[in-house]
Amino acid sequence: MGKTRARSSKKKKRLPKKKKCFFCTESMVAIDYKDEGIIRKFTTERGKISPRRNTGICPKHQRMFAQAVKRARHLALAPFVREYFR
Amino acid sequence: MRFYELMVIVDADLEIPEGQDAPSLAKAIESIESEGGSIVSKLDSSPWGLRRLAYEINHKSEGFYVVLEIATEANSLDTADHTLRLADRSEIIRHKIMRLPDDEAIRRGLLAENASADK
Repeated sequence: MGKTRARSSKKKKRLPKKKKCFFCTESMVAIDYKDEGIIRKFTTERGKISPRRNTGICPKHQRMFAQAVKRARHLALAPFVREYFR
Repeated sequence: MRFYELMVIVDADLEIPEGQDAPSLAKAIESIESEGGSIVSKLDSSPWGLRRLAYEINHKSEGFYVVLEIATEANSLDTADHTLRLADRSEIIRHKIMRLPDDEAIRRGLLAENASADK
């Protein structure tokens, strides 16, 4: 017990590396709701929109992306809920 | 002139002769053209055309997708939207009209670099 505590106090808290916004680096003007790869990349396996803290997307592009996902869902290109098959 | 994108999911069980549109879609296209608009492009082959839906709609798991790029004056798509809406749940499963932002229209080569769409 005492050992582990000593080790943890020595350990420095490591800050996660700040991610660059994917859409900014690609210099995209609009996010296409028809692009299945992009929609899949930034949604969870359940089909939810991934939070910004996980993906590192900037606020502007997150808003655009959310809009694109909602469009794709309405046109049955993306699921509202992706069920797990067991 | 403004640019729009229209995506339509036509009922795949509908008996439509080869190379023809569903009656309501043909009617919508006709109304766009009669109001001075033009169809820039029409895609109904791979990746569009017959596709699996991400989830069942009205107990159907497949639909025939058509994607249109339209150049028209502002607010002249109302009648087309209306005809498509009336056909919803019968001929047409879903439809959506979206305005293409100017920079996206430029990227697609629909609009000249220095022109503004609202002129």
